[in-house]
Amino acid sequence: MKRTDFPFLGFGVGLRRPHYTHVLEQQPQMDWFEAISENFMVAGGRPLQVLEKVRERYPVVLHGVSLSIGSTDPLNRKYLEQLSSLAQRFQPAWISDHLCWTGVGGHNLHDLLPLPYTEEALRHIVRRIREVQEILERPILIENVSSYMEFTGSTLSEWEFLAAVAEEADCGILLDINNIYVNAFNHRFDPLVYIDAIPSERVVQFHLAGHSDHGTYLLDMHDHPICEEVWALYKYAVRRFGAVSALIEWDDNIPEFAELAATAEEARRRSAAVANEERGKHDIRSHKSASANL
Amino acid sequence: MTSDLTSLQARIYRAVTASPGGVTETPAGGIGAGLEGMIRGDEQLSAVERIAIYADAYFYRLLDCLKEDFPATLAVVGQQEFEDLIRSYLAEYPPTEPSIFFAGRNLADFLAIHHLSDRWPFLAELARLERTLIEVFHDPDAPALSASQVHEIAPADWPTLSLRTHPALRMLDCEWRVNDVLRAVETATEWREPEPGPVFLLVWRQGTQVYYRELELPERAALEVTSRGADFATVCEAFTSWFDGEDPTTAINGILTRWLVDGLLMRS
Repeated sequence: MKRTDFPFLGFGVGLRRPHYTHVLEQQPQMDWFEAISENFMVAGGRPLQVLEKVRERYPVVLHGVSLSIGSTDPLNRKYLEQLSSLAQRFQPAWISDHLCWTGVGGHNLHDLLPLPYTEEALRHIVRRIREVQEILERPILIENVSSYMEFTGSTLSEWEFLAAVAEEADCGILLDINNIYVNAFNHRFDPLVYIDAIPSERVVQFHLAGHSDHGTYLLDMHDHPICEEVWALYKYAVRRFGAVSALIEWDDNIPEFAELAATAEEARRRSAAVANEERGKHDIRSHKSASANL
Repeated sequence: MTSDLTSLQARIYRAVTASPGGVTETPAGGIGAGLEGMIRGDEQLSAVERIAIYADAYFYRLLDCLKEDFPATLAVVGQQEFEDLIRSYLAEYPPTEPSIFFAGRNLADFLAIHHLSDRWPFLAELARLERTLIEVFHDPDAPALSASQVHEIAPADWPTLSLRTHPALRMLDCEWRVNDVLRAVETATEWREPEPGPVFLLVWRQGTQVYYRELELPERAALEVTSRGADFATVCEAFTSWFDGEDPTTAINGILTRWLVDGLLMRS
């Protein structure tokens, strides 16, 4: 699996309930939408009707929060059947979920809990991602989560673990830039080291979002504008990975759609600026090389 | 798999669901005991403080969701009682489904045997009505029988016309007029203790909008028969059995028109 197996969708936003009416009635300019899979695992009613209409006009990606790929519970077959049905109906550009566990013992915490970065966890998750990809008949994307705890038993760093999971399971990566920043603060590591360690060809999508500063830790609430430090990290990631589809997440204190759309445009502008810089460097190098040959 | 990962997840699950304030650095045997050996703590945050972030998030995420799902129940019991209620509810009925939409599905049953029902005996019925609105919102889509479709049917064929109710339709029999409480909360007016019933409620969805209203006994009986699948003659019989010597024709026409306008029927 490599990035070029997937389309470049551009710069999108998460499809959220407060914006349903605006999106349907105004049909705003937007490259693509990301829909939370579980919100549409219902028999009928408004959510499915909304997604149907959105899909008629825009590319859509299904982003899950309850695959629980790291749980020691058996894979939830009913959930996977529902996800598979959604994929058949809405033909998403891709399906993604998180590198985490969300419950155990048949219970769901409705949260994204981190894993110990061990060989045991790696083997467990790689086997399960391969199984999920067989069921869904497509490669999936796995996203790095924000976290507030690390385990003493970890023998790998988070970035080593993510890279190894993606390589060994042959899946894509949804790289959440804000989560890297949040974790770098919460666990005291260099976010650039993290980004440098990720296999470039597997990065299919970026997430960008805001977080809350709680003094001793950062909380990934998706409730604020993207801070300048995360934008700077995004710039670094664009330099490293090139043109990658990017999506703005906003889940609490959700602003007017126009602000989300403006943030997606900001991501586009910053990505283009990096591309121009890189092109400029290339032109200078080419010019020097040509001059040297004269 | 029995492994370090299995035991780690079981320990973390227990700590996260201990609810806010439940994870403390207690002596051996407490929920926080032993976490220091499992979770890295530092000068920034201790291991217990780190797991407490997850415990808070677990509880308050579900609390917020259930406040949104049960606004009238919340209005009756108040913020603090509701928070205590949800704490004990989650201990009894922790979420099991991938979608948070299911988190409140057992709240009415839980309330039926909860001490809050001693103080507010209508509370379980109110919660059941609120939950029903949510379920009907997500019930299956299906094309409802329209008035124009019915008019195309020859009158001679009406008696054998097979009918059933739309899948996004539920009926509730209540001992209290909890619909009055819900209506008051929805319209931001002061709610009052409901009068005793019985009251028969219809909850249905038309398009994407969910509605509820009271049913008189004849209409309830006719819808009950229709919900099991019945021909039009049987539906009429269920309806007219409540009329004593009066001509029910006008009432039947009125009720059929209303059902068609509201999108309650389908051809069986």
